[in-house]
Amino acid sequence: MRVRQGGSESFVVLGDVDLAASGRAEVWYSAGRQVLRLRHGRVVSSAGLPFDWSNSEAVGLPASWAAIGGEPVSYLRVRDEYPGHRMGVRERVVVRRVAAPAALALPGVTEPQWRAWAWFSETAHADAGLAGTRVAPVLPAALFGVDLRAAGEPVRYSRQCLAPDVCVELQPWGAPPAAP
Amino acid sequence: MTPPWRALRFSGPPRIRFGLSLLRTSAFGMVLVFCAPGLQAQPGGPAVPRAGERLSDWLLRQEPARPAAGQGYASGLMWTHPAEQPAQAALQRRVLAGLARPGREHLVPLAAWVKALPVTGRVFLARADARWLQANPDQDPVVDVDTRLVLTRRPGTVTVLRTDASLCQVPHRPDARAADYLASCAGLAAADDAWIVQPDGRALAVGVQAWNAQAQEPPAPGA
Repeated sequence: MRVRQGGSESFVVLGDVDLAASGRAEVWYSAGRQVLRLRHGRVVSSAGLPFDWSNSEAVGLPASWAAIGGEPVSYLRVRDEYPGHRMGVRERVVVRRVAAPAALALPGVTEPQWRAWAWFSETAHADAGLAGTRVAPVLPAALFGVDLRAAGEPVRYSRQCLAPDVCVELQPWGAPPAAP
Repeated sequence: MTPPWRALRFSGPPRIRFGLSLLRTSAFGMVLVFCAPGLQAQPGGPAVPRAGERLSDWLLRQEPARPAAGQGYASGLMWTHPAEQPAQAALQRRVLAGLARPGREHLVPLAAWVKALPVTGRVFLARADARWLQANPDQDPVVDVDTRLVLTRRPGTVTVLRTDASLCQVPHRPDARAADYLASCAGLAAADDAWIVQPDGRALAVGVQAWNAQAQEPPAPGA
């Protein structure tokens, strides 16, 4: 997988698959000995980054990307943050299907190919625990490009932020995307 | 023989022994926001480590037994070994000697509480993430027959220890600071400082009044 963080680019390799009650998570390793865990393309934990997540759990998340249609879907995300021992962070995440980005430069992928993916944004808000309470987003919105035509709904591209200033772009490398 | 963990190089801040070396007293009194979830026995008992296996392997072996992710509280992982006990016992004696100095008679209950603490021989770890440990084998210690590992469930509280050795347990809140927990416990409004002992054994001093407020990490569950 190709990873862009800030202005730098690196690659991570899939080394393991962890099975837990919360589901199957891919474990990706970098040359810098950092670890990323992804579940359905979403970062659920990291280790060795300037800012790490761990124990991220989603409650009420649809089992598939295809199940998210015209209406936004909301789920509860609970996770821990390091450094700082901020644990049990609760966020209300809203997932909605969106139009493809206006422009995107992805090595090895043509514009017709990435425009053929289904695009989703995720916006996280602090979970105030009260119905109807509105709070400002806590992280920049995440963006996912999902190939719904392929088995397993692979996430072909994503941009996700673990902190306001720690954002990564992820692009699987080596597996050719489906032709439009 | 040097225990295998002594060869580890930790990239984080220096580790502090289990709460004892940071017991600092002042004329204004102080409190500890402190607990050690690892001292609570895991239901069913800890899985016995196999001599020669890495900590990462032991952690991965615990996965199937955990009813749900998050039930094994990595931050509170207790790695103990008898070889560490003499040094910790000496530290405990130094702390008690400090508490017994003239002018600290009001800390007698706290000294008794410290004296009653078990010398666990806890070894501090850089991380308890199995996959990170595998990617960083110089940080992945090897167990031996005397190693004891306990992985507990995540507690839902933070415990405040007053200078009179009384305890106050407060439900954990993700963004609550030390001052918030003190405010939940009677008789602590005048405290100027607090020591936070996190479940992983790290300890830090924080100011809890407006005049000495500082950026600080919150107490974690079980702190």
